[in-house]
Amino acid sequence: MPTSSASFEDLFHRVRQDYGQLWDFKLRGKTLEIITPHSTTTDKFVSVFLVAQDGDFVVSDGGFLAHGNYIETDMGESVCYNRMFEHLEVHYEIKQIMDTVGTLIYYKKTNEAARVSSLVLDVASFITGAVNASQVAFVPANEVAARRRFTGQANTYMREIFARREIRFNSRINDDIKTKYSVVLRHRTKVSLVSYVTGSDEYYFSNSISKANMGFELLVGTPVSDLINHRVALVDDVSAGYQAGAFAGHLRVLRKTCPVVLWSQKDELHSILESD
Amino acid sequence: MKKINTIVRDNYERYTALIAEPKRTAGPGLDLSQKKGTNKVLHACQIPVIHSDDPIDLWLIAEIRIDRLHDFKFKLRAPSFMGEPLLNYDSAGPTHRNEGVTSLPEQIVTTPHFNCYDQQGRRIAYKTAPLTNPEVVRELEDIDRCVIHFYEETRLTHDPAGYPAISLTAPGTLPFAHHTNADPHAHVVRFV
Repeated sequence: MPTSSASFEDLFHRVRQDYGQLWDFKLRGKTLEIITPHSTTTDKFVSVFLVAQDGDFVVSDGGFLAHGNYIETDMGESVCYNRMFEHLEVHYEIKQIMDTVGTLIYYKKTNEAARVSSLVLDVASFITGAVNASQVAFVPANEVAARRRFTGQANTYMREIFARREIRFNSRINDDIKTKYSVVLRHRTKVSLVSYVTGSDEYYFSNSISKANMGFELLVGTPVSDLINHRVALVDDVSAGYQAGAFAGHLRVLRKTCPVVLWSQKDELHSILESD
Repeated sequence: MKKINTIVRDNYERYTALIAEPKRTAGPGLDLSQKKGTNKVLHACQIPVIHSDDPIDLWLIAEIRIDRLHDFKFKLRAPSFMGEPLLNYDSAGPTHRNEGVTSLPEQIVTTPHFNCYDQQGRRIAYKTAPLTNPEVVRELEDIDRCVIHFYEETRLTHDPAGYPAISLTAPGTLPFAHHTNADPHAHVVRFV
């Protein structure tokens, strides 16, 4: 264990030397690839690409972000990810350009050789941030799994009891209304709507109640409200979220908007949705 | 905490058997004349792989960037077993960091390299002996030669001929030009 400032200084020099050894380069045509010591949560070292153009210096990601070179599996787009990406783009003042084969390249440009190092730091930090943000599971895996399980069970049940009716899942009523409903059930010229309420914990469960309520309330007073026959919330009362929380109050509010059917009493669905 | 592939960690014996035991492919070879999705420059194909004693659904996937022919990947996938490839070869692209290694400079594994998982389910990169020899590496930038190395490393055999032929273009079309270490800015008209 070092105790004197002298041995700490030795360690510092070791750290700086080890770090320094991480830098590397490869010449690629007129472009210099610089492998930096910046690393991502996907265990890649970030490369930036330096090229000169009419007395300017350009430092880019070489199209590696667009080609998914830093990630194994695409995490899919999400609003949160897009906001983080925008923040990084704005903060590091990153520009983008599409090349002639359709690759989007992110870059910074300067006419001063002395600023190149600063650009390398900015572009490498931008790449690290963007790659790491893409790996965040904004919705926990158990929530995704629980929701998929309930949706699967409920869809199967709906298909069984309304085998001879036109039924669509996770759909819009028409193009004017952006909200999607778990079930859109056609009944001659009208439709009935069902929203599934579930959640792997209290937070996601109460969100799900609010979302169902809002989805139905949004239709009040709109031209499509005349098209709606029934609106029902189907509540997953065997979910971990339902059992963890006390939702009597929430469900009382929801009942002012629409009938609430518990999954354990799902037989009620048929009579509600078939009534006139 | 680092991302751990629990499927590999909990089924390590089966995982290593899938990679290390003999496997075979058959047919005309790898046809890389077709685009992958909407991407203009990425071509891809897959052919089924038969494992010597595991009846699992197994695939060999090849991908190549036709604007820089030294940039290609081979992947071995078992979709019913795990989502990520069991093992892959990256001829180009970013340097991998093996965090399990103590000394920081030794954590670097540049491309070309193979990726697989260790016993703890950590994704690691490694170089086979030929991949540490710069002259051999230059030869292996040719996908026709590299596929032989990939077949040896993953204990694959192709029927017939031992390893598959690779076609990059549809019959009757001109071959793509081969640029070694192609410039990633080659198709940029002008940075503004």
